[in-house]
Amino acid sequence: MKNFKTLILLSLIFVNGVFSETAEPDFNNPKGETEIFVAVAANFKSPFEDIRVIFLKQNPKIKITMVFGASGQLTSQIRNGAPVNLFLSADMDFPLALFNEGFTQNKPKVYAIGKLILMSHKEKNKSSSVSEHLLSENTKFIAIANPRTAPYGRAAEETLKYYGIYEKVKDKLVFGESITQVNQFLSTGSADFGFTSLSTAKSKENHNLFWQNIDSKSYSPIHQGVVIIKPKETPATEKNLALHQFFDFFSSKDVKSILTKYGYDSYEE
Amino acid sequence: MLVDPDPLLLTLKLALLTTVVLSVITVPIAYWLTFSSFRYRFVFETILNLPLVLPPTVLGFYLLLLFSPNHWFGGWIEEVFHFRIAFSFFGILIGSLLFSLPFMLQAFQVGFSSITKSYIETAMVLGKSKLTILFRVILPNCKAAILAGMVLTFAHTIGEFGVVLLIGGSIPGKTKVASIAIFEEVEAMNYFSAHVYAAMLVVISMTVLLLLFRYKRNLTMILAGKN
Repeated sequence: MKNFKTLILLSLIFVNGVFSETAEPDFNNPKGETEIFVAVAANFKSPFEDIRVIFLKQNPKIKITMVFGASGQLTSQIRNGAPVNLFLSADMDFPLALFNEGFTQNKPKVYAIGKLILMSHKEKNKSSSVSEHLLSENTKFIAIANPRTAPYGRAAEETLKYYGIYEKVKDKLVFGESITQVNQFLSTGSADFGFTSLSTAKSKENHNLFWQNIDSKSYSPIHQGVVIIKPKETPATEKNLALHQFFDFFSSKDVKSILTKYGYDSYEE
Repeated sequence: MLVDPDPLLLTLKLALLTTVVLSVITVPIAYWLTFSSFRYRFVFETILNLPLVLPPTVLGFYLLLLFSPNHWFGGWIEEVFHFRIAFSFFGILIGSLLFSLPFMLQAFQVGFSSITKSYIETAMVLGKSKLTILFRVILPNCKAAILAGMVLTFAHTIGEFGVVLLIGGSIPGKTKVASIAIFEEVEAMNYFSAHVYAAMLVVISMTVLLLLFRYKRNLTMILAGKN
């Protein structure tokens, strides 16, 4: 029966593993440059990498370190003291929550507007409407991100209601934890259709054969917000300067063209 | 605010079914692994025990690919049965069967191999068939191990998350089990509901483990007395 004890002990260790926390990023900075830590929503990874390269060319003394993750996870990490300077969320709710709780230096600012598309792994008739595609008998599963937590999920739900087909396709809906999981369901072909971001269609890894734009009238705009996080200690002037420089850089022409390239709109105030 | 009981009921249903199905199919597997003299059985042992060490997401990922209509297997199922395993209760049941199999298997193997050899030998001398020996000698003599295997499997399935997350699609009433519901409530910053589900899982799992440890002692003593 000794093996049992070992087994139970092992299972307890597994259980414990679930509660372990993600390691915080390393803050060593041997070169003496000014370093900015940026937490970026996973859906904005590719455009952010481009933005970073251009910014670093113009400001060689600044170093930018990135952490990628789901906006919700990044938010709870920031709440629990993750040493992040700038947070680019995939929506406005999470940065707004951080602002309301006093974790940020400023109100969230829109840095990009996401666009919703309908996508399928298989070749589909391009002239059919969204409703025709989704109401078809061959369409068994439609993947959307969880409308309660993911902005693209909320937008997808609004679109379905706008076209008056929500009740009819309700039983075909499967929910991804985020837009990333919707993309998994699409690329494996498990779901016949899915609502995802235009940036997915523009990415290099996209091998889906069909996508079509969703009329932006049918859903409320998907605003992605950025906030500067309040540091625990007052930062050096240089660092603060670098931070605001990078923050302002998001309204530059360079960034606008990157946004367009990756399927986002820029925000005009 | 009311909390939807569906995810909890679904979790219990999944755990119960997994336990029942596994207790049946693990018997022949454990029997073969314990008593067979096949040289390479350790290879099978290794494969069946992989879910113990692999992250559940690995299993979930492979199952998602396998169940996809683009894969020959998923495509075949869809053609013949007009049924897609991904996003169904059946799908997450298969996932949790594979995922919990090592727990049941370990327990059964420990039980089977702890039986006094002379019992089996005596039965063989008396001309009993292998099947009779299994049902009349082996199984009755390792009730403790079987019970432990069932309890562990049940508890383990309640805690399952990764596999279901990857292949379930979080459909209310079908694949949205309690662990997924907790994850979603936390993501939605809806901590009250998350607390309710989480607390319920703690209570259920603890009760189950309490039963295990309470009776494990008794049963071990009985077994020890016999041996």
